[in-house]
Amino acid sequence: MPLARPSKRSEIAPRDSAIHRRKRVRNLAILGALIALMAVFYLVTIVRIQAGLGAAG
Amino acid sequence: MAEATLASTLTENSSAEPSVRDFLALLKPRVMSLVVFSGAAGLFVAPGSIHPVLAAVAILCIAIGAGASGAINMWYDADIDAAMTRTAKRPIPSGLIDPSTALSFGCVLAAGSVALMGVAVNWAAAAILALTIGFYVFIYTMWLKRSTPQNIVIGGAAGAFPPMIGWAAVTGDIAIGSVTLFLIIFFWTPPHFWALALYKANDYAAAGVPMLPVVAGRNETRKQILIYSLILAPICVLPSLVGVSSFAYGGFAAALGLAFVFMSFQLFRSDDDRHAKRLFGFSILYLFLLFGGLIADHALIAG
Repeated sequence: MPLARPSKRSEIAPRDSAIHRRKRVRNLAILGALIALMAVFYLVTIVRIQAGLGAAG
Repeated sequence: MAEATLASTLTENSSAEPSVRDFLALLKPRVMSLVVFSGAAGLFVAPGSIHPVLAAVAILCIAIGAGASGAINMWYDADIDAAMTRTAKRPIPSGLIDPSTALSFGCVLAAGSVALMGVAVNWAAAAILALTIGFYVFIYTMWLKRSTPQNIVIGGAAGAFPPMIGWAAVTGDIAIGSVTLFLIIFFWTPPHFWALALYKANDYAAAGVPMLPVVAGRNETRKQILIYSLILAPICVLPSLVGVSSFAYGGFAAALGLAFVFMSFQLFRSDDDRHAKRLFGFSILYLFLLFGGLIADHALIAG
């Protein structure tokens, strides 16, 4: 006998449960860290080129 | 016993989802603040100049490297952390973060901080940062901590490297000036941790960590604290003798050193936990004042 499918999304998992909120905040933190890393590499590249230091220390 | 406690806690909280705050706790932010401050002091008092962006990146790398060491340390020490009241609420023993996740987090940050330091600043600073992380993880955490009461004497070197990293970020090398900064933290570490161990001796004994008060007793520990304080006080004046700072800093460091020796002597004379707690608290302030004095001296007088 086939299992009954949940009719609503809220029956699968509550959308705003604590776990989902934590996962969302964590994903946003990782996104923020990656963007910050890109900004750091961009700034370092500009500074090193301006100072004539080349690509790597 | 400790492993059983850890295992039962992990099972109870295995469904918990770690938050960003739990990951930040893995980085030992309070330890990191002292490491960052001493690293920044090394960078500031070093001869020469560095672009402010590269200086900020160097300090960021020191902070991330210190945090990575803390995360790997918490992964390895999860069993003894669970047995000590001071550390039982850390993310791994409390079951908030899976041990393997903590290890991966620490390794990625360690590799990332060294690589970024090498590419952005210079490879001499990156090499000392890698040495620091390796020393803390392999020499202190995995080898010395559980095997000898001299664990924090030798392991203290890991905490003493950050000013040398900051210095090398500016100059690209190791000099007598940066070695004096290393020596200050190296000789500061034993009295600092032994003062803590005196009033947390039961915790360390329960976890099986052979800290000096557990193995050699309180009297021997108080004597060793006094001896190290007597060595530390003149060493803190050294930067003014090797040209890193002016004699104004030397006078300031001598006065602070006398206060440190006086408090150690008080603890030596009377075996009281209040004296140990006071010395522990003062030792943190002492290091902040000492390196703050170096920075101020460089900014106002010597620089």
